[in-house]
Amino acid sequence: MPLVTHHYHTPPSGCESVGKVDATDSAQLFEAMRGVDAVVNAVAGTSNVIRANARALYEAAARQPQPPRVVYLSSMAVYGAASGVVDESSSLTQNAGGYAGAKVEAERIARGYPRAVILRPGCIYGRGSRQWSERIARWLLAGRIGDLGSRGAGFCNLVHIDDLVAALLNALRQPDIEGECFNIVMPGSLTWNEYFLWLAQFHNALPVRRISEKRLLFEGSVLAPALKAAQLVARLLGADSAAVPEPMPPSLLRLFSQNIRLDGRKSEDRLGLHFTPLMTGLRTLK
Amino acid sequence: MILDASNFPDGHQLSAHICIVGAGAAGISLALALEDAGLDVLLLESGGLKAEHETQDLYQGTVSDEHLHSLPDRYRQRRFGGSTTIWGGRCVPFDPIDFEARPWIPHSGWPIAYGDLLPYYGKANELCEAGSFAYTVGKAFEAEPRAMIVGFKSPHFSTDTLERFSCPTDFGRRYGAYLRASTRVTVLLHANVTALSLNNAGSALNGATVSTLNGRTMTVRADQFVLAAGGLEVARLLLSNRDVHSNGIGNNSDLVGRYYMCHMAGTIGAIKLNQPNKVHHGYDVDMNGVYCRRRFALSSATQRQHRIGNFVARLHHPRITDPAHRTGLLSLLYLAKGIIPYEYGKRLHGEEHLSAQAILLHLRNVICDPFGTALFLIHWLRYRTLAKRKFPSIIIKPRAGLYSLDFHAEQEPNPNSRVRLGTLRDALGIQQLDIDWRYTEGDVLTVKRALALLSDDLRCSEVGSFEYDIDSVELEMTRYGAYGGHHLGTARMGSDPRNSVVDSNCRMHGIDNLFIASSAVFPTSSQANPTLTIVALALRLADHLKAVANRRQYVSAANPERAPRNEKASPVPESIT
Ligand SMILES: Cc1cc2nc3c(=O)[nH]c(=O)nc-3n(C[C@H](O)[C@H](O)[C@H](O)COP(=O)(O)OP(=O)(O)OC[C@H]3O[C@@H](n4cnc5c(N)ncnc54)[C@H](O)[C@@H]3O)c2cc1C
Repeated sequence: MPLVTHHYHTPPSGCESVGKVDATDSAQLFEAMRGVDAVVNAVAGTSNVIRANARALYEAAARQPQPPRVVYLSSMAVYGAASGVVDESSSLTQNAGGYAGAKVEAERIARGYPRAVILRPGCIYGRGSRQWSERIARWLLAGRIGDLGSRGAGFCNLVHIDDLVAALLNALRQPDIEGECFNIVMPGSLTWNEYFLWLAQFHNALPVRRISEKRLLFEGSVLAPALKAAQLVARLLGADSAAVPEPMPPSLLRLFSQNIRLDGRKSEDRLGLHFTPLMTGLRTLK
Repeated sequence: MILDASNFPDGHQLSAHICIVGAGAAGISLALALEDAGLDVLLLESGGLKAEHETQDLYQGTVSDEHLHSLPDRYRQRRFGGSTTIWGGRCVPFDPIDFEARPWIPHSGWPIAYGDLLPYYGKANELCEAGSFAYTVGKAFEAEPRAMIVGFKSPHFSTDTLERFSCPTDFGRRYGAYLRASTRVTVLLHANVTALSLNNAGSALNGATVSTLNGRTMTVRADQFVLAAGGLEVARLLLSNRDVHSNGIGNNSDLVGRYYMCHMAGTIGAIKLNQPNKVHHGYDVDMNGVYCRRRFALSSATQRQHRIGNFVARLHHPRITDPAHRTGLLSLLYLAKGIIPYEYGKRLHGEEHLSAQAILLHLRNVICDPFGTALFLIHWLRYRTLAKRKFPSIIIKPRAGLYSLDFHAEQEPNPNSRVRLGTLRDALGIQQLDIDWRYTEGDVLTVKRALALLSDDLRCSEVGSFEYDIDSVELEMTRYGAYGGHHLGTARMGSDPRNSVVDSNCRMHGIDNLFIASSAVFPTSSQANPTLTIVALALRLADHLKAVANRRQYVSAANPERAPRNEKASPVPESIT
């Protein structure tokens, strides 16, 4: 399986590196995807990169003699601040800027390409998940998060990394799904508070602490910018910015209380996914 | 959405599928449980987001004997969140025996069993933020925590059951944001329900009248009405509507307001334990960070055998008012009584007035025990004042190694213990309540027998002794009067309309669409504090209301204009943010 990256990575076993490619450059992408049956687009970057990549990628794909299927890894961020049960037909966030706006735009471009399949994963946890497993575990151990009360009562819409991989593989193989989009999320109604509790149990960070709203406000509005600045300074000075505690951005704190519940039934029906139960998923962290 | 009725025009009409009166533990839990049912829910709340004197005064009333029962505007809060804005957060489920008809407890027996509530207790626990529904040491902890008293063995009492503590969660603050964001639930603040209008046959509620303290009146139409105004106010609402049912709604059998129960509680005696370092009378913390505490719980077999009611007790610090305890902190609590809220101060120091000499002795205790006092204050500041999940109560190892016993016992249902309408009226013209709370010989017997058994068991297991004056039991169990804040039984549940007010679904007998979500429906009181069971019952009622709605097929997700409707086209005020 050819792997195209921007950085130099050692390709995992079973993959061969095609080399370094600028994912916003249509010509380079055209060369890289020459002769492939399908493309998984998992490019991350700034919102400009996401938009430019979408434009370049589908243009390059459409120019192939046999245009490949493109599985696009979008995000639940496209639903913005929606609340309640959200399925694939729910409306996407309007006029959003930043990451969410870029993802919406990228999806719009993808929909113009007849062989695109869009996946909208929830929060990906499991081995190697820096954002939703490792970082949260560190915060739990440091007592910075725990039981957030109403601030952690939002649904966490988790998906285990193995399930996302299964979703990608099935999206590459399954017939009759081009032009479709799928929420990829474990069923159930797990809240962030519950997830933190289970994660704390796996990391011996029990009992979880009740964190007050004031404390969270302080995290988001005072500590987060200060830590972000400290990381920048560390980077400028060539010091190890990873030594600075990670900031908890206000957008993340908002997500913890967002009452959005992704409906992933379509992916179970059409992609034939069987989601990993949380306990099994957490065990893979060990 | 949260709106304020004082901003609505006079004569406004509102409608919803389900109208809930009162936004305390019961009303809010019910609204939350109905949120995703595709029904429009209107939650009418008398108070605002904060305490307001004028609204709180609507709770004023009279009592037959102030020594036996606090005035009705004490131990209740008339505001969004209800009395959970000041509650202590102790969560305990009822025991299976509490639901049984026990021949030795007159008028006992629920039409539902423990098993009928069990499916709802877990969620209730979650709403109360009291961790998981694990009320025994074995279930709550992986590694067994310290024994309460090492070596204590008893054929009558278990020390393995737990009480768990909520944060304590103020339901208004905790769930307000969620309700504000809801598109199906509308909370209407400053909306006092002052009248309930029945149809001519008296078989269904046509509507409710809402009055505000700024002089507006509105009407509400709904398919189903639920009274969740608290154990006393439910009776007041039913009794004060007499235009169709001349004795008050649902009161044909003269039951509304009767069987009024609180709990029998007190602090008594001196427990001397032989090995003071093998005693653990404080809290353990479960994996959720929830404080849990063991207590002596009277077994159901013993209740049956001795024909007495339910009973629990805890090791407690000595009586604060008596400076002989020589504990600086306890003396400080006595001296600081002016700043302790009435509801909590009452059982700490009562209304006892001490001599100047006793006060000097308290001062001496504080001065002679500066480190103990300072350490406690630091702990209190960190784990109570500043903490979001609060350390539940004062726990101190008594200096003299002497504990007292704090007990909390079932009060049996008694038709002569009652609330009724008084002669005075509140600012909205509704008759105030007059409370005549009474206890029985059976109540005294429960406490006397349980204390005697505990004393024997402590002695027989050779862990210590429990001395108390048998003749003072009745005095001690009534020293501070009825246990405050627990208002039970005034609209009891049963299957026969001749001896009950609501049926097993909490529906008023003979009235098609009127339900009660409150401890008012408890036919018996258990040893347990009521709120967890109030919430469990509210959640069970939610399921029933959803089933009724489905049967009647008025659930229509595609019926947005059904949301609390502005039937007269007058402007609806904006949501409170
Ligand atoms: C000091 C204190 C400590 C307590 N500690 C504990 C404890 O540790 N454990 C425990 O289980 N319980 C405890 N309680 C009891 C607990 O607070 C109550 O059981 C619980 O709040 C009852 O919930 P409810 O919804 O039935 O009534 P409430 O919480 O009283 O709510 C009723 C609501 O109805 C509203 N209302 C009243 N009349 C009208 C009207 N006419 N129109 C519109 N709205 C109206 C009121 O404003 C109020 O918001 C304590 C109570 C007090 C006072």
